[in-house]
Amino acid sequence: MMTSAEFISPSWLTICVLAPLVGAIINGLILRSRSAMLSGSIATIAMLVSFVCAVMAYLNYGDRFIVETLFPWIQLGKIKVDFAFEYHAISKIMLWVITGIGTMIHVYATSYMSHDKTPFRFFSYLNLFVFAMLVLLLSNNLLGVFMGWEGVGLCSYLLIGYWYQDKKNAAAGMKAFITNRIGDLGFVLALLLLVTYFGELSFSGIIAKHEQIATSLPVWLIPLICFGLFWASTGKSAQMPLYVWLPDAMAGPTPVSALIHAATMVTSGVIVTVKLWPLFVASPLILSIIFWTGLATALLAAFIAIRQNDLKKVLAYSTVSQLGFMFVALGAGAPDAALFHVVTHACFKALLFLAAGSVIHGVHDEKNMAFMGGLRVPMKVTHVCFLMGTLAIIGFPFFSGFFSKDMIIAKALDFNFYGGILLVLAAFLTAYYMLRAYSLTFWGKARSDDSKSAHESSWGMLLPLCVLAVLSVFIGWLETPHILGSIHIFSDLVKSSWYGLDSYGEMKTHTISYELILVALVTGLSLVVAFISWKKNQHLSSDEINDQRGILKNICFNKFYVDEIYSVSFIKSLKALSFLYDLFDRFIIDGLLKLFRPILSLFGIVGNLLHTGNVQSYSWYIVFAVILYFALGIFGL
Amino acid sequence: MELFNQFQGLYFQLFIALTVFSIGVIGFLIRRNLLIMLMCLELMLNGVNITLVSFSKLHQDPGGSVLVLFIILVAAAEAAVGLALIVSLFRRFKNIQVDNLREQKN
Amino acid sequence: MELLEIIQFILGISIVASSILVILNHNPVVSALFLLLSLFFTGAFYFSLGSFFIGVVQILIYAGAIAVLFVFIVMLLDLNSFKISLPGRLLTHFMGVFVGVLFFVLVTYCVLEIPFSGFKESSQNALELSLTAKEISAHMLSKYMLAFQVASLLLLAAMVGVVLLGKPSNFADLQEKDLEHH
Repeated sequence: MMTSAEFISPSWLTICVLAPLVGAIINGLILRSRSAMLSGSIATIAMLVSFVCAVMAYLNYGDRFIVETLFPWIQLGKIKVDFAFEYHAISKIMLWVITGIGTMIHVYATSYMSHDKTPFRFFSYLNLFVFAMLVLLLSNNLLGVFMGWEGVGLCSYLLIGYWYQDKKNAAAGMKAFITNRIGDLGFVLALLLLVTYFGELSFSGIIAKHEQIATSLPVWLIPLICFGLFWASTGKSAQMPLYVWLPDAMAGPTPVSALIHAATMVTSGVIVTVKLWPLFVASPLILSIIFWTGLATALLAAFIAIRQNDLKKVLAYSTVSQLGFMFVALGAGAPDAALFHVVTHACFKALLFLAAGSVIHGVHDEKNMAFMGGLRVPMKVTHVCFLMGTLAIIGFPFFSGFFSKDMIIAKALDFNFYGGILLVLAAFLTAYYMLRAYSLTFWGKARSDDSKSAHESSWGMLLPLCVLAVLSVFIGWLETPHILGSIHIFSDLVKSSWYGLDSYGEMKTHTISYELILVALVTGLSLVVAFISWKKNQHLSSDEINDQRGILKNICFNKFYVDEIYSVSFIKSLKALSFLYDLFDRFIIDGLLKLFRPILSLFGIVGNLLHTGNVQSYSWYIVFAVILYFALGIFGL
Repeated sequence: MELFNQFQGLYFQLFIALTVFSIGVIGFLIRRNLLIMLMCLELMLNGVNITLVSFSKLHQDPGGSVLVLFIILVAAAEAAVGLALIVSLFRRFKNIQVDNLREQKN
Repeated sequence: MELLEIIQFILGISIVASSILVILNHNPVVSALFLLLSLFFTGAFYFSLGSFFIGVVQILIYAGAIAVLFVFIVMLLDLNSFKISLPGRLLTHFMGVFVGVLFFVLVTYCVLEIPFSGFKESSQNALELSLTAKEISAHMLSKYMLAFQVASLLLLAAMVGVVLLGKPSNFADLQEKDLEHH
């Protein structure tokens, strides 16, 4: 069923990956223009080139498993990795997602950043990010993925802290980078274990080797590797405990949030897990951990989102929650469901973020929903797009989220009934907070002057919104259950990706009636919840919105005090430790050095004596030296 | 020492060369007149030249003689420059004692 | 003992004698003249060895140019030959002689330890086996061509340097008569 790898020289994939890099270099080093139009256009063109190459790759490569090798990268003893890009099942879909949605976000950003003073910085960082992400996606070995991993972390830092003149933004960037770094420990652990025990770093190699030697490995090895990768995912894909950077990352410009924190970077963890799925299947313990962690994250984030007033923060927590859904799917043994949700989520979350950006732009940079309201009149297009996104995310029948979310819920219930119920609760919460955000923003009376004088955004921003809205609605039809047509484009794609292996994992199937009842029930109940939320939240006044009294309300609003807990336990203790180290360094080490001072001065004094300043004495020294050499030569030294 | 008779010529030449060289060294260390010191330099070079010529004769190798030529050449250049320096120093100090070339120590 | 060897011997002793007289005199002019004599005897020594070309070069350049240059400079500079009796002067003399002799002894010991062997002809002094100008120049212009070129550059540099150094650095050095105009 699976074709074997064809190794060819650099071609479409390479151009696809390098185009954004070239764009970044042109923008950042060569042109450095102050015009958003110019730098944005260049960046967008680079992205279009990437997109076109993705299309060409699809047309040319079709079903073949192509590996484009650039150059032999490392050949040290056991390890032999090439710098190569592979065109393979998962890459196909994600490539279209990244380049397509990326292009639209670039178009949007060209209008959004029109008032910025140094737009070339922004666009070069953005292009650089896409480059790193494509390297992450397309590399055929874990080392290249790691390079992309670090690259997206770096660009995330650069972009979150883009307006670094305000210290809060810079701090948010640092938080993102440091938290990611803690996660990277897991990745490195996995890399080292793989090198030591497998001697292979390329994906096809790892899976093939795993087949061969699975029985001869120590029992703890594969779970440890998978745990390392999962730990890295909690950092990159914002799961517990390392999700804390994502809400703060809203300090960056909105296109950044849309691209990085909705569509691409945060899905890296899912991508890597799916690529190495056979290893994960071999460690059921880790899969359980993933399931429960994802579930906890989904629930926690949903609770926090209910009482957030900053529009972007709601969306941020929503992202964390939806990522939790994806990991629940992985834990339940359904990588196809997880990937499907990745794709649909990319579409509607990018849409939501861009629409939010349009809204914020329209109300003159006011982010608090307490001061918005009634915007459906002045901002018609944005309103419709946001509504489409909302309906998608809550799983309104036949929108994209409907298919992907319900697939996940079905698999979760299969895996563990009580866990599944909790997931359903999370889905209801999703419906609640999204409709709350929607109605607070677009319905009711205008609650402030800013919202009274709101204006619609330019077509540069609206066009991508519309395209994404259309996608969000229809992309769900890639994978439908039996009743509705049984289209299985997605699962086929995923199933064909296991590098030559025939059956992967036990992707459970269920009886038709069970699925149907389930779906109907969940959807219906979410719609009810959504309607209640909409009705209730329309008529709130600013003060009522900002009012966070009441214990439960308070806890949710304050993010369950997670950041504060981290601060006290980890950060303060590290600071105390570093203080101790400083004392040690200053007194003990420097003290030792000070002891040596007299000895060194002695050398100096002796040397000083020799420099008589009298030229003739130097000639004596020369002759003495020559005599010394001869004497040493004679008396054998 | 058994070979001495056969090499008598060589040993004598080397002896002469070494003597001249040592005399040059002694003169260089003892005299404080810059001009005399330069002359002792020339003596040292002369001694080296004698050595080279005798070895060149011993091995029938023209390379030694070529080196002698170059040494003479370079000695000429160096003597010229040295003398020019002495003239400048004389203009400065009105005598040419090497004690004038003392650095000031703090 | 052949005549050649006797001549060599005498010439050698003369070289040494005139060298000693170079360093012993306090009058720079006399020292210069004895240097000239020493170089001249060295040239003769080379002749007696059979290195005619080198001997000629020695006399022409070394004795005929360099030593004469010395004499010129001595005449140019108005030097007072003064004897300075500084405290410690005698010690310096002793030390100098001692170091020189020590050096001499050490090197002699080294030389005597060298096992000379594999030489080409029986006698060192055979005049028939001389190194002619032809052989020397053939070597110099082929194998040591680079050194040859560099040496010419060196001479050029020395020339330029000497001219620069010789220029009066400030007008105080010039005397009234030098400022005559045509």
